[in-house]
Amino acid sequence: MASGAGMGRSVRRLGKRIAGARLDPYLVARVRFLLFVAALLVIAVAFVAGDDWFVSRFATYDWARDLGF
Amino acid sequence: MAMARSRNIGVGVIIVALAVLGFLGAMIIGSTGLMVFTGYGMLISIIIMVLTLGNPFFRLPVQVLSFGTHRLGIFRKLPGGWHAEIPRTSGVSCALNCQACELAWVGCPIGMLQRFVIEARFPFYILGVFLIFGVTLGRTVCGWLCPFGLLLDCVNKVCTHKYEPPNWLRVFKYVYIIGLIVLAAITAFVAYCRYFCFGAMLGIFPYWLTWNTVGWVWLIYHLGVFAAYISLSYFSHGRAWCRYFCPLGGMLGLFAPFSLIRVKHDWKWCTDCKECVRICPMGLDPRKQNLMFRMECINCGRCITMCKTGSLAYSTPFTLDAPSKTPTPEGVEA
Repeated sequence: MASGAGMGRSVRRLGKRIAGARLDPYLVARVRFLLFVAALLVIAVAFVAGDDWFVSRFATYDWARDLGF
Repeated sequence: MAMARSRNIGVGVIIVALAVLGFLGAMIIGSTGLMVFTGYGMLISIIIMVLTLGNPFFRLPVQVLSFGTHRLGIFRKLPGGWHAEIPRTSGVSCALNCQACELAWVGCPIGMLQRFVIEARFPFYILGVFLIFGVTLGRTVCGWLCPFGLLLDCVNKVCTHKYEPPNWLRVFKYVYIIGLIVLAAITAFVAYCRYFCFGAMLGIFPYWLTWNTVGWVWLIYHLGVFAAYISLSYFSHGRAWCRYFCPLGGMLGLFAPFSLIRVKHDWKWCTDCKECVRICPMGLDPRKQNLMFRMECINCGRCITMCKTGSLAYSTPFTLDAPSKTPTPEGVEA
């Protein structure tokens, strides 16, 4: 069984490897395109689903008073 | 090179013009959603166009403009009220700091995220906003638009750099995000905004000053929170909040490696003087171009200004993949 210190070392090593990783530019371009499409879809879903309940909720000042404003 | 750059700027101008037309059209037909969408499209395209110029000189005017825009909401609290009867105020957007303005088009995503959690609804809007900002501007938002960023840049001018927190502490902002979501779910209350937000001081101070709707207790409490964060920045780095605490920056950082705008580095001209490392307010090494740099870089462009060889430059959709300055490093013929 790995000791606590050993585990900590492994986590630090993994963190350093992730932080130091270099991304392939073609992969970045593809992921960017996918994320952009996903963003538009998610926003469209938000509009279609009528996910704007907070507009009426936030259009009042009451919630802000609750925060001490 | 000059011709290519001017052509590229032309593309940026066309995109900005289209966004402006879309915004005006949305205002004419009175669609708030379209106004928000085109308004931010306009802002994003303007910044991309400015960055295309490759000169961070324009950052300060953009920051000041953004700071002013984020504070416009206070005018409706002045005696006589500015459009006090209108449920939305043109130009006011609280996307980056809370000012409890019911007239604003959009609210702080972190505050809204907690609201969605409390209401047990899936935050489609919030996810969409993070995705769209992430893949277009990334953390350019932190470097160019954030009102606190402007304040922290001022602190950065005078900070002592006495304490150097370890790099792994940058993970703390993600712990902050998870913590605020869990806290909102457990307490059914926007606890983060009430007790921990750096921006609350900027939010409540104008109200206290102009309309006196804020109690002394809250004013002093948030002044203390604000002072604590500023002190940390003063003794360590100007952008300490952005590095270790900002949940908004953390969320944007998740998508920032894929953003359209980035700072690129060319070893061909680099003399390894490390000026860019010394000057970076985020404590990064722009030469490495690794995942940490991509996630943390706020595209402030200070390294680009400092680099005498032209090894560093902005990369945007409208710039060519070449250094923006004529490279003239020592010992290398241009």
